[in-house]
Amino acid sequence: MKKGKPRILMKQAIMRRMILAMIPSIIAAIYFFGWRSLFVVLVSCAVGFLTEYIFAHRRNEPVTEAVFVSAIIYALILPPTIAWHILIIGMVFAIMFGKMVFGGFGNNIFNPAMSGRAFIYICFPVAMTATWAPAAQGTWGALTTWSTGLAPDAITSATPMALLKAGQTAPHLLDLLIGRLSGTMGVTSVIAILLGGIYVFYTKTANRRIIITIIIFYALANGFLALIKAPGAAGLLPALMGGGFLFGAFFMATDPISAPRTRPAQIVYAAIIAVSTTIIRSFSVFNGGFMFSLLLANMFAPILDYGFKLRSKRKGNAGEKLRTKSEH
Amino acid sequence: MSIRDRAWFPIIYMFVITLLLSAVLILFGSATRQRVKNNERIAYERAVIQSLPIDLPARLSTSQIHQIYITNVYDTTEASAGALRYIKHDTLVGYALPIQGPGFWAPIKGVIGIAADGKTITGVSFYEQNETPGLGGEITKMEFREQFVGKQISQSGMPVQFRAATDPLDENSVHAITGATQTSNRLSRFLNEQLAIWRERITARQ
Amino acid sequence: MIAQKKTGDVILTAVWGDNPVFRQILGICSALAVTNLVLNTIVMGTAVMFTTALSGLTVSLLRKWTPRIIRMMVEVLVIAFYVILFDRALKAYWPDMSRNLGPYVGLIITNCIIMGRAEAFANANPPGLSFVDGFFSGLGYALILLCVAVIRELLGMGTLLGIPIPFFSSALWDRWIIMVMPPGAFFTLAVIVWLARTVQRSKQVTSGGNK
Repeated sequence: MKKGKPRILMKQAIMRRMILAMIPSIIAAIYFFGWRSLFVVLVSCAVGFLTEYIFAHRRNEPVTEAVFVSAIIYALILPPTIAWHILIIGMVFAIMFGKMVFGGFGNNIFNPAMSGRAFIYICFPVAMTATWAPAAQGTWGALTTWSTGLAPDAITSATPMALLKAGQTAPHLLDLLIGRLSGTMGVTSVIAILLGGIYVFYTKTANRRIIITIIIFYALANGFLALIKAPGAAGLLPALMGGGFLFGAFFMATDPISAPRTRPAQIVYAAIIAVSTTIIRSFSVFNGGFMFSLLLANMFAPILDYGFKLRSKRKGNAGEKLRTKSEH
Repeated sequence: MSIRDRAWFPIIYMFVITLLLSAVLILFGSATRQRVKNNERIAYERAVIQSLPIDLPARLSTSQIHQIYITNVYDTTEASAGALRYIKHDTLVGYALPIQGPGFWAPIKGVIGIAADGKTITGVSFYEQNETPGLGGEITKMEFREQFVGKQISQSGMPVQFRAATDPLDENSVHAITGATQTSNRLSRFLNEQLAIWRERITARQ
Repeated sequence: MIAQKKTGDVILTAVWGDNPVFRQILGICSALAVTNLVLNTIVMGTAVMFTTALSGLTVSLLRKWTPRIIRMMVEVLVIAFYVILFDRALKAYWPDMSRNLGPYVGLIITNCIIMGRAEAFANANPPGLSFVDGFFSGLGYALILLCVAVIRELLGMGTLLGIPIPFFSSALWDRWIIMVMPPGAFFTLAVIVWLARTVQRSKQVTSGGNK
């Protein structure tokens, strides 16, 4: 990514690896939805950088590279047809209210990318949910087009998750795997996510405990719902592979700042996300299940940490069992 | 020892102040009681008249509303199945069915007008609601209400369907309010429930 | 001459220096609830000004007689009296507005600004000054609410006082739905408090040399 002078930009090795891990998803976004996707990513990076710069400059602090991670994640979980002004408003909000007002990097309670997305999701519900661009077909995908959102059938397209909710048949699993589906930009392709996901898992860039717990609990919850044939349940595999769940599990729930730091708290935190995502996706009127769950769990992260620290102190072996996650 | 130092003084003092202030409130309250009552009555009468097929001037004074109401709107009878009757020159022109149910914040009360055929909707109007202004509150706006005019009450299933703003409409459906899912759902539920009951009763009478 | 200067000070402190909303962070609940339409906000602000001014006056008039142990009861009673009066007047003469504001007029009784002014000022100052203090504290509250309401109505509905504003009411403008809902006030108010405090601090820094 961009190399700045040390005073302007703080180098963060973890964040660089995160960015690297998301490149497959960016490529998938360009391949399926056109070159506009790349510009959406670049614009949100630029806006995010500027917003953080304005705040950090006043405090004589460098801009953190984490801002690019937030910006890329934010861009990848938006619809490909996202209007530019909405993109910018959400990004400014994400960095300003999601991060800088709490005191900048390391102090934010909520995941900045998700808070930005939640803001525009509630602010512009029509723009965020009504139209979805179809994924380009053919060998060359959308590599020759600016945006598939300009196609005439863009308006009628619905995301697999919305279709599931409306009681229609689940999409073909192979489609989910490759990602040739309409949906948010960077998260339709399970293969691309797994490529990056395995990288962050293997290099321990992202917290393995959170990733594993979240996937297990999510699978259990959905498996249970499928087993009792609950109305609205998606079924195990479509649920696991659809709607950017994996993207969230690998790249968002593992955000080292907004996730808890003690081990048992991380497990509880991951379980909260997994179970409430299942509940919201299956039974509520909203589609943004992962978004709301993550923000909810973020809220509980500090008190979970506090509670478990207190408990271990009472047991008298503080610092032994609960080694904080600290730096990698 | 001055009077203010006596143990009973605070009690008497509180008592006197309370008496004074509540006396003023009671006076003011009773002076405006009739007015408040009239306001509520007029709001209801206005809703009834707005739901009926009456050509109205843009601004209607309260006395005009009341005038129309007492000359043309008749109480409910066995045959009208709980709806008020709108009668002009001795012929039945339409029904006005009062409906009410839970909204998002507080109960919604309104009136739905139906032509004499018992099938064509002539209008809807709400006289009591506390939905979020700009979202659920849009149910009181013309854009939402005039959708109902001319719609047919479906003779089976849901009398009037509420559809998403992007879906196409037919003669039995209207668009729900975008961004106010809860208000739309609740309104749809009680409006349809009560309209369905009326539909059964009116067809039984005919 | 001295009294006049003091009145001026009281006004300035009430509206700016010690503004109830952005300095004391009082009355926030109603600031969140009624500020999505400018008209509602104006009426709400008027109601608060009416109540703070007159309850200040009354509490101050009674202050030499009121036994200290029951002064808070008396204050609440006086405040409730004016609020009910206003609420009733709205119901009788402006029923539409009364319906719009719903329970919020009645809830002015619990608005901390009014109780705060009665306790902190009217209890210890002459009636005239208490009236002025109450009135301008109410105004300080109303003005901030108005700022919030203008932003919310403009961004959320593209109108001001119900009148469509060019550009904001056209198709070019995506209405900010969140501004219509209470969270919109939460963010708007935060930004306004932030701006006002920044301005206040920068002034203090520049005027600090004189003192």
